[in-house]
Amino acid sequence: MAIEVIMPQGGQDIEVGRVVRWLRSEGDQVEQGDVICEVETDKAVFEVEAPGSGKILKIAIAEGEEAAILSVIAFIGESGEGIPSLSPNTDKENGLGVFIPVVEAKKTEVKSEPAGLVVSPRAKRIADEMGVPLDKLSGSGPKGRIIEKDVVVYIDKHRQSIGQESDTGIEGGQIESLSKVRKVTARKMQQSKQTVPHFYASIVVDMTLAVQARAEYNRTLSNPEDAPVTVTDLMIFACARAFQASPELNCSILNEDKIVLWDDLNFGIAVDVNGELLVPVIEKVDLLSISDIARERKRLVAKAADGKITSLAPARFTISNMGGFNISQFTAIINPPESAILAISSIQKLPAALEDNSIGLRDMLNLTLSVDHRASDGIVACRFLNTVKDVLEKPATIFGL
Amino acid sequence: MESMKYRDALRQALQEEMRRDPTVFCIGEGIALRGGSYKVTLDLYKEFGLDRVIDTPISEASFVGMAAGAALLGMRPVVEVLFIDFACLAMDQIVNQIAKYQFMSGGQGRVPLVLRTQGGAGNGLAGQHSQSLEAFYFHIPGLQVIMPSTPYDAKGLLKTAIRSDDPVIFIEHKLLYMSEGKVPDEEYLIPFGEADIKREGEDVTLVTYSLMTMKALEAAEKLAILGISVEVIDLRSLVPMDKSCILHSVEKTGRLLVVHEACKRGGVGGDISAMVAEEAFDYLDAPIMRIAGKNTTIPFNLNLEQACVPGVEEIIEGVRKLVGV
Amino acid sequence: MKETDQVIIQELYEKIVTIRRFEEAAIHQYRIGNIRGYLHLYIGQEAIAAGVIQALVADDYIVSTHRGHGHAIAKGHDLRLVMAELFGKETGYCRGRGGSMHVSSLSLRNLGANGIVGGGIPIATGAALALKLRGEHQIVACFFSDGAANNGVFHESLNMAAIYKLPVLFILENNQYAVSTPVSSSSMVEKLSVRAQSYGMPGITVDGNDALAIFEAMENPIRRARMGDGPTLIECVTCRRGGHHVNDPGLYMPDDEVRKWEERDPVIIQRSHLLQAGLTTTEIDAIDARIQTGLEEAVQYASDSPDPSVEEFLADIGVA
Repeated sequence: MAIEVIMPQGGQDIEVGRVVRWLRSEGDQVEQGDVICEVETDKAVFEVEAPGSGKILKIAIAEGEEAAILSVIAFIGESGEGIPSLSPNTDKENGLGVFIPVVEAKKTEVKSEPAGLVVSPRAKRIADEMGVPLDKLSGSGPKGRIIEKDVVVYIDKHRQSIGQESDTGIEGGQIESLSKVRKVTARKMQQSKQTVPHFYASIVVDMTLAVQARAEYNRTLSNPEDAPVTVTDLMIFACARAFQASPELNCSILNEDKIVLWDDLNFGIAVDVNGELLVPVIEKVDLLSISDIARERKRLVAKAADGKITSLAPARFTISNMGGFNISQFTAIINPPESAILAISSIQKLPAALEDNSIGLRDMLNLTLSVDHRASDGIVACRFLNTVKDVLEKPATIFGL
Repeated sequence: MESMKYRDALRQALQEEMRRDPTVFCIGEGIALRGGSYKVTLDLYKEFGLDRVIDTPISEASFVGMAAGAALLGMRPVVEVLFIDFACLAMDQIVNQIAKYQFMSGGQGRVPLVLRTQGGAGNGLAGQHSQSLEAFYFHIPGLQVIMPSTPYDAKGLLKTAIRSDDPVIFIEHKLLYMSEGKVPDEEYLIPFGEADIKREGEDVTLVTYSLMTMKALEAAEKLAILGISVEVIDLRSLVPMDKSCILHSVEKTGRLLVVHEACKRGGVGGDISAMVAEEAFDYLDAPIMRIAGKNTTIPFNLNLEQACVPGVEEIIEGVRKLVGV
Repeated sequence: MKETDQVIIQELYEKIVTIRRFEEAAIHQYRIGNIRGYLHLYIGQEAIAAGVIQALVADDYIVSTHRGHGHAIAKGHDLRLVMAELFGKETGYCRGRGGSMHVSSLSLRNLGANGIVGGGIPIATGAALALKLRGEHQIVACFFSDGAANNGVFHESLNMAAIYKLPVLFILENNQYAVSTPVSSSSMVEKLSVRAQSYGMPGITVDGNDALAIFEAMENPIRRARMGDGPTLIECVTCRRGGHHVNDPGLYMPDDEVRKWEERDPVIIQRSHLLQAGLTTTEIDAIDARIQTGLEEAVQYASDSPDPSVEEFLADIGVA
């Protein structure tokens, strides 16, 4: 292989050298180390020595010509040796060539006001995450910038308000008109919750014996006109007794200074009739036996179901029984001008302590009494509930056995 | 716990490290017999001898370079340059030799040297004795840059600096030497690269260091009365810097204010601002703000001097503008 | 004058020739593109590195200049690793991170070549301080040029080395030129060693081309340093052969001067010492051949060595 004679590196940032003078010619025999050529960069003139001994086979770059640094300028070898064909050396082999474009400094215009919405990055991120339309916001930051606070305020308001009803209805739902009963209930319940200071007391009643006694009694009925006794009836009976023991609960607040203690004991029974809450009233329950109660209750509920007014007498106390619906406990809202309401939950078979302190399964039921604290204190509620419990747990008193 | 001055905390650090490690020695102008212009090295020579507390002629370039030479042989010099302004005389040794030796030797040599110096304006010492030049060293790879603001930080960080196997530029502040603070009795070290949240807050992240930490805390106190809650982060360590502390804070507050005494142009605050803009852009609720020294030589007259460096009122104004109140 | 034995004369010769051949090889490698950047050659000054370092013991320290290959080689560096460093390879002394101007070997006690004129003088002085503080026996030889002798750190360091009585030898290599400025226009004193007086230390001037003379002249300064009596300034007068660096043809150096110094070539001088000490031409030629082989191995090793990995480098600097 022929030996390459290369254009020597003459400096850090020099790309080309020029051959000044060939001291030897093609065909000359040279020894390693002989000076065969002088080259020049803009820094200095350098001597090029033969890198090996042999004949100068080819001079590739003539005197006066330029070549890239480290490119081949001649070949030395034996006669007949192959020389690679030289392509004009246009590449910058040593990678030092750097094209420096001439760039005119552009005068950038400083925009004084940004076009379009001005939003802080933080606000934009939150708006994107929450799907808040930025064009619906007004910015409270400098230059009307929409900032985080503006987005947060929008989100809160959006959650709270339902929106506006339009000709085509409302977005996300269907509009229905409230029935008259619903409207009245709504008004009365709101007024009750807003004006009556409720307090609540619960008691758990062992209904095992009462359930048995009721079943037995109902088995003895033969006449189809007889009304079977329900749990509600038991409750009415027990509550009537409780009012006898605590008559002060049968009252209404007259004004700031005065309270009315009623003579009659009338109970409202909350019933659901075709999706409507109706409260037929049983009058003078303290005078009724259990069978009277059952009969009256049955008659009144049927009348209410027919859409007829059940009684002109006002209720002094309401009983609400959700026992048919697996409800373990609930709290009812007082119907003013009454001063109390009793919430009756479902009977559940639960483990309970027996008299001999063993554990057995009993039929347990939760009663929660809501009381108007203007009319009564806790002690009255306690007494009331304990009387109800006693009566229910000793069903002999109910059925007169 | 003991309450002590910043300069005494520094001296304790030197004492403890010199007792612990016989290769630690101090070298600088007037540090032995006179105990140093700020009394940091007071009486150290009595305990450690004049061989370990060495007074030098006024030859900054060479005695800083000498410290480097000694460090290469395994000593741990603490070289004091009286004013950071004078460190300019030693720039070749600091920038071309100390910062680069480990790298250029392919890792063969380490330079476990601490260059202690101080800067800052406020004593009417005028242009050549009042500069804050941390940005020079911040910019040079191979140097750690530490700036404590309290006696607690000063002691813990100086101990760490002395034990570091790589060079540390430890920049104190002339107005902090007499400040007091609590320092534990038991030994402790503060690692580099850990910022200190000196006051937690919700509305603005205020990143600062050295004397400006104190001004920032004072401003934060006053802003709290206005219902604005400022989180003050004292960097303590500029290189390495506790990036994640800053970013977490900005993610929380959405607003960044950088405060430093050094001139605004080319100051460390620009680097911090750019970093936050790059990495926490989507958390910014307001443009990033810097409050820094004015681009001027510090004048001699007291009022003019005070006008050049950030003050508590200026910081309060800045925070209020950020919050829009 | 003590008779220095033949072994030492031969070692001096070998050091000088190795440096000369190395520098010549380096020039060639530079021209063909294997070495890039700057290359400051020690040709013509070899006697100084050889003479001074021969007088040291192995665990003495040296600090070098930008013209540092000579000191490194005299201190016993592996030629292959020096050449590899010049090639920028991973196997070089500095893993290709330093190059010609920053060659160092801590294990060989070479605190390194330095790209800043005079930059090593304070470092050498500090190294000597450490040795003194630790009560060690080693000393430091600090090489620097006539150019550096006009730099501020020269004056400060000599002053401090004298006050603290540090075990450092300040070897001033007066090679007549600081880049292109002749020493005569940089100083009002002709013998630069005179400056030692300003700092209260002894100063001597020796023939910088005669390695044997330098070696013998080192005896007193070295003893002085090891005894704890302090530093000495030793000016070695020589001439740089060629320009400031490989791309500077040195056209500002007058021809007759250049010729005069060529006659006092350190290789020739040391060769004649060796002949006088009893070696034959054949033996000397054998030494030359051995050195040449060593150089060829060094170049081959450097060529074959790998470049440093860019990925590893970026990972090291935390930019992965």
